[in-house]
Amino acid sequence: MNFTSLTFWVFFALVFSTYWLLREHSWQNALLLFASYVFYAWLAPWYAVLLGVSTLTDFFLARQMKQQKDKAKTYLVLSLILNLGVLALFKYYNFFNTQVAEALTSIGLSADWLFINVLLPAGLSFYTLKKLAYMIDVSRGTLEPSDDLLSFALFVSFFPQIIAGPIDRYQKLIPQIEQKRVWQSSFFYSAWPLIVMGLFKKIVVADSIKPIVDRIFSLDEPSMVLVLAGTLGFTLEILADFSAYTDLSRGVAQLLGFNTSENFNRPYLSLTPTEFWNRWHITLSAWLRDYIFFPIRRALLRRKEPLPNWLLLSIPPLVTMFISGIWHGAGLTFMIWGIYYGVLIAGYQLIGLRGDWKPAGRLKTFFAWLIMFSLIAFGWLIFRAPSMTWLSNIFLHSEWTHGREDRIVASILLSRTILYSLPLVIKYLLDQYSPRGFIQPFYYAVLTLGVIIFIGSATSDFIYFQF
Amino acid sequence: MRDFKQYLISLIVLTGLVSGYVFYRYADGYPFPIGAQFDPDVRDKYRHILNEEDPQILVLGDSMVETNVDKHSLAEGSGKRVSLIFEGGAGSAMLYLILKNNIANADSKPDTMIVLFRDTVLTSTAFRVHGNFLAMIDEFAGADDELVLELAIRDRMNPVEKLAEAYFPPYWARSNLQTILFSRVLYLPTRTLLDCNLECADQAMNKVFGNQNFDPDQFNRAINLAENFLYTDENLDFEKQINRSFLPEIIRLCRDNNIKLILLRTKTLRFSREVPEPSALNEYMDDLNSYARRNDVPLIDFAHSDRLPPSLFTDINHLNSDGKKVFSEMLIEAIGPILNP
Repeated sequence: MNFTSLTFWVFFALVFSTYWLLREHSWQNALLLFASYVFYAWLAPWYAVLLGVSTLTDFFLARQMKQQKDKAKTYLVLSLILNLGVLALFKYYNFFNTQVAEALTSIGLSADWLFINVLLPAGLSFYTLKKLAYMIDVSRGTLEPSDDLLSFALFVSFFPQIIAGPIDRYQKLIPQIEQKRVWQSSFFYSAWPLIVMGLFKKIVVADSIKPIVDRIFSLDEPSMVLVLAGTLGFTLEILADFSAYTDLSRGVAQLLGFNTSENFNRPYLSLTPTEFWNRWHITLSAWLRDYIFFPIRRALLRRKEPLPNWLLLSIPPLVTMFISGIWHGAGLTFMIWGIYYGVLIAGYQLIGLRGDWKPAGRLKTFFAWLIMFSLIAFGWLIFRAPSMTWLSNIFLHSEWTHGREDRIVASILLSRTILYSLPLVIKYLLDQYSPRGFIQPFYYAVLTLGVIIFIGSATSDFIYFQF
Repeated sequence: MRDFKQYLISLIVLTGLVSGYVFYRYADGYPFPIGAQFDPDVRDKYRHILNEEDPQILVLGDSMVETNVDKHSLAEGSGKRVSLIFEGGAGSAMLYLILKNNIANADSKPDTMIVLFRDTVLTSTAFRVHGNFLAMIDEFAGADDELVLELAIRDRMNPVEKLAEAYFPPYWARSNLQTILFSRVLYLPTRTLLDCNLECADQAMNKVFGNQNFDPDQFNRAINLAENFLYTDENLDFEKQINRSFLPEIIRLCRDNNIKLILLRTKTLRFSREVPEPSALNEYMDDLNSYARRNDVPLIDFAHSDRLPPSLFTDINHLNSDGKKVFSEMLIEAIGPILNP
């Protein structure tokens, strides 16, 4: 059941109408919790069982932290082992099972049991980070543990967010879960533009670019010109796909009276890698900053023997972005992609270009943007490449083009990429120069018509489901 | 509030304009016919081939017929004249249309027709009937082939889609409107800069994305993904699908034309020790077997044969030349007792 399917909207219509008929907010929460588990179990019933067990475990561990303050660290470590263990098992099992099985077979042990395919439950990476933030904050004493299991379970499983975020913190969602919610027309007026935009970006932009991009990245030895076109196509596809999910998630949450976090703020206009990560997948970046980057940096600063400045500037981003890479998936490409951003952030900082850096003059700004955009696109090439061997072959052995056909296909994809990115560029210009007035509603009407013309009976899954 | 009102007004005006264009350009009447419409021309190249080759045995299927069956070995081994008919990517709708509009209309009909299939293809009616496949199907369909539209397309649409198709012009004409966008806007730079029209662009796409250019692992993964449709709970439920499928019609057409039908399930590498065959597929095959027996149609099943190891495959579905040889030998052995009881 994804946000662009009819099944979801029928499900949501039922939840929405029943939800606002209930006056008591505890009943509303109970309904939302039930709906969230139905939504999640729709993908696979055992996902919901895993979610339920892990939610219960963290709820009780957090309460134990409060009751036995001297053992708070032990409970935190237990929670980290459980959460990260489950995440690692599902995320990396399939990456390693063949190698482990081969090793066992080579020493004469039967490895059949290892071949049972373990599928990563959708959204596990997202709700694990939500729970970890809660557990760490409770252990630090900056957050009181919840004594309401229903509210806590709803915070973890809230269906607009469970599959692919935004990764909202307990401090943001719980006050909204615990307050009385009465229908206001403003909910609808804030939600509809998000829903129209989300549907357009997914159905018209991302799904139209995806097939040709997928084909290019499946070719054995594509020429450079195809890889360049494919990379630019994927750069648009991943933004459209993921930000569409966030828009739809926020729109749906808004209709239920919840204000959830923005995840994207024109990331491709960034001038530095730090700025990019402040604008791209904002809730994940904030999580990584608060629970990985700052603690590492604090630990380095507290050392008795101070480290040289270049190490102080390099180690935290490198470790943080490496973790970000492996959070996105098992595989060398994700690790290298993470390290790549770690190196970029450290490199920019070492030459004095911090996240808030703004060059003087339009020409300098343009070149700073062009360089950063190229670096972002190159990052997506590493991210999307089927393997590092494939990528190195492209750079070492590929020709610029294999012939006229390559140039034709590349020009078709580039035309698509430019055409489908135009609505996003127009939206940016409208927000800048005409935020009020008739033109914005007209723009959304055009998008709606686009959705009607492009809608198919089957829409492919959102890319970030797999993380 | 005001924004939303302006949005609604804009949407109504835009919809009106597009609807006017659709009525002017494409519509014959209102409400619109639901689902695609076939043009009346029917391609009959296989009728001519049958008339020329006058086969006693015909093997029909998708590209796996070409890669798995050796026409000459089969003719030699069976002592009969053999023809092969295959269409790359053919689903059951296309096989049914080729049988109905080409084979059944030929002057020289085969005595025996072997339909080569994998797993649930014969009853997964909506498999490969959309997008480019619809255009391929249309080549073998006439204006009166309502059954195909009914079973493969309309039967699978939800009520909202049906309503939108019948009464909402922009939705009904969406594929025409997309074509305009593609041909006039999307291909404009390619046409202007590279002097390449739509046909030339299609040729370039086919050349660049030819099967041989794909990384084998990626290619197999893509095939697997594309064929997940065959293994949905719905398509693995034989009893629910059989009366919504073309198989009963295929059996009837063969019977009416005195063609002995043989179903031949081929092996694929989709399932393995790592990814075991779902139990529902075994149940499906049991049901298909019983159904075939009740209709006096022999079913040959090579799906679990040890004589076709992975080394004989070029991808998860297609055999290499050694595999083709083995497969053809197996086929000769299997049809012998059926043709000469």
